[in-house]
Amino acid sequence: MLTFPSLLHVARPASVSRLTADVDRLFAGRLQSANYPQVGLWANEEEAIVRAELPGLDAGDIEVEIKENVLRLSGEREVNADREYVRRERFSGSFDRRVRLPFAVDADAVKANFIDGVLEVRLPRVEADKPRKIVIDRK
Amino acid sequence: MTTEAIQKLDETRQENLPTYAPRADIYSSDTGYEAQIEMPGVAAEALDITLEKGVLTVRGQTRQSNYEGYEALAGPLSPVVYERSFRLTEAVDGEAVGAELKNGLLTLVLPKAKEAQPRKIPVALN
Repeated sequence: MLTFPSLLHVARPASVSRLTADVDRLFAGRLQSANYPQVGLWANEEEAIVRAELPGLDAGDIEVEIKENVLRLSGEREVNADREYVRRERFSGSFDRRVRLPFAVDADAVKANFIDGVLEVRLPRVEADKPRKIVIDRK
Repeated sequence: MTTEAIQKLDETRQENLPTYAPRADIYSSDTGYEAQIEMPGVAAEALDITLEKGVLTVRGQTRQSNYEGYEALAGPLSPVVYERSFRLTEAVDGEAVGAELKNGLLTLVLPKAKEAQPRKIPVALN
């Protein structure tokens, strides 16, 4: 547990898989941009969904690009260098995260929203890429 | 199913959610401290901040669709609970703690307590 103002004791509540990653980040001092932001990926035959956690950013700080079947999320979180840090765990600086999608997507039909620090991108599959049943001719 | 049973089920579900300590930055200034705590996906109504016996605890549950009909392929996929506690010493005015949640970032403002005024102790004269 952190103590104000001495900040000597650190205890973390029960954490499972993310704990070790958290500890690594603490030692590293800051997150590596290759792992930032955290991204979740879902898909069915019609569409892929990507969720990225970007707490504290504004929608205008985030660039979303699509090239073939790769989604690229980039941007920057600037920090005020004049302020005095007691503790620093959050990612800062620029990030450039690429997410490989399971299929080619229709870039013009992609929709994105940003709510409570979570970016959700919905990427419809290109029509030509969808699986089709081939009817076998019978002679 | 009765309402009670459903309620119980909901509680169980909530208890089973994985709990993580959110990442935080803490700044210091002449007037106090400011903590910025990352809670992506947590809405204001799903956030609890309590101060008990000098321990300030923040707890928030993420809101997330379970994307029915989609296959989960990678990354953090399910709702979680973010929870972290901070012990406040007497140097912080616990009554004056302020909180704001914006874009999944919780900002806590912890003002320093006004220094105890030096007091003169009158000596009773017999």
